[in-house]
Amino acid sequence: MMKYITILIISFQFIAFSQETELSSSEATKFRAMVEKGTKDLKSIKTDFVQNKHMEFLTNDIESKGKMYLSAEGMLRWQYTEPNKYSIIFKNEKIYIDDNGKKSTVDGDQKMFQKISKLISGSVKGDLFDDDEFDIRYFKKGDNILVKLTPKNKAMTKYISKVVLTFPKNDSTVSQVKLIEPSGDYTLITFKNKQLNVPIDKSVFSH
Amino acid sequence: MFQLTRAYLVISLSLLSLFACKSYQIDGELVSKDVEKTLVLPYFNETGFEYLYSGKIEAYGNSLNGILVVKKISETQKRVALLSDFGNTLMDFKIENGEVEVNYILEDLNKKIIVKKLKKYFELLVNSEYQVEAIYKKEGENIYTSKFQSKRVKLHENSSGTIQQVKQVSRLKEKVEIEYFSTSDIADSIHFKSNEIPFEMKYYLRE
Repeated sequence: MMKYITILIISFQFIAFSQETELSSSEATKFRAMVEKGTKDLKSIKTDFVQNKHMEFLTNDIESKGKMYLSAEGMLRWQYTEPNKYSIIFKNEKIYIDDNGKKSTVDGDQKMFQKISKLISGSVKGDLFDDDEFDIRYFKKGDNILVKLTPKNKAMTKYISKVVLTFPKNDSTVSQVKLIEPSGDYTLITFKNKQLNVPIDKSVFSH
Repeated sequence: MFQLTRAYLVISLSLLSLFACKSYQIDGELVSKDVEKTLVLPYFNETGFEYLYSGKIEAYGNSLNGILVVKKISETQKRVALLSDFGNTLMDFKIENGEVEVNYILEDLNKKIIVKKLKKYFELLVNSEYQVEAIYKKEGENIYTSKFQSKRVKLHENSSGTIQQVKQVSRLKEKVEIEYFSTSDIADSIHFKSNEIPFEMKYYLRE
C-alpha cells in the first residue's frame, strides 16, 4: 500500500513540475525587464549547441552539433561540427558559407537565412520581444520561464508556426530554442557551455 | 505534279527524321528476353530503417544544402524528406503504390513544374523493385532492362552482383542517371544527375 502511495506522490510532483502556468501581467513585465536589463550590455556570446530535428515519422531525432558565436555588432557564426563540417557567417547583410572547405558567398537576399539569423541572435540576446512581430505569452514550467512567440507576419508563418524560448531561472539568456513548423515537426536547439562577454577573435567572423 | 512533290517531301523528311534520331540502343549483348524476374535494390529497402544523408542539390545554378531523410514505413509506403541544415523541412513526400503525395513543401518550391519533377526524381531515387524485361551482358557485367514511370530503365550490375547504376532512358536518350556507391546494403553516397534539366544531387551518408 505504502508503495502505491509513494508512486502517487511522485506522480503528482511530476505533474506539478511539468505543468505550465501562464505568468500574470505584472510577472511577465518583471521577467521582460530582467531579460532586457541582462542583455543590454551584452558584448558577445560563445556557446556550443545541440540541434535535434523531430519529425513525426521518425523514431529518432536527427542530431547535429556545433558552436555559435555572436558579436555585439550583430555578426553571427553558426558552425556545425558534427556529423558534417559546415559553417555560415551572417555579416554585413551577406551570408558566407564554408562547406567543409568549399567557400561561397550569398548576398543577403536569402530571406529564410536572414530570418533564422535574426531569430537566433534575437532570442539569445533577448531582443525578440517585439509585439509588432509576435503574439507573446509567458509561462512558468518548473524552474524555467517559457516564452511562446507566434509570428504575426504571414510570410514568416509559412516557415514557423511558433517559437518557444526557454529561460532558466534568473537567466537573461535562453537555454533552448524550439522552432515549431506548420506541420508540427520541430527543431530543438539546446545551448551548452555558454560564455557571455568573452573576447571573440575577429578571425571567427572572417571568411 | 504538285501532289507528287509533296509525297516526295513527306517521305524524305520522314526518312531524315528516322535516321537523324537514332533510337536508344542498349550497349551489350542480349542474353535473354521476356524474363520473369524481380530485381530488388537494397538501398532504401529495410522497413523501419531511417536513412540519413547530407549533401546538396544543384539546379539551374542554385545550390541547396541539406539533409535527405528516407524511411520505408511499410512494404508499400516510403517517406522522403529534404531538410535544410538548420533543420527546417523543405519538402516531405509520401510514396505509396506508385502515387507520390505531398505532405509538405516549402512555398518557395511549391510550383507545379518543380513539384512534378521532384516527385518523379525522388520516387525514382528511392525505388527498390524492378520487374526485369530483358538481360544483356557486357564485359562480364549484367545490364537489366525494366520499366518505371512508363519509361525504360537500365540497371547495371557489377561483377560482384551489386546494382550500382540506374539509368532512365527515353526512346532516344538517357534522361536520368543514378549511381549508388556502396560496400553494403546502405549506399555510402548517391549521385543523381538529370540530362533533361540542369539538376544534380550528391548525398553522403551521415555518420
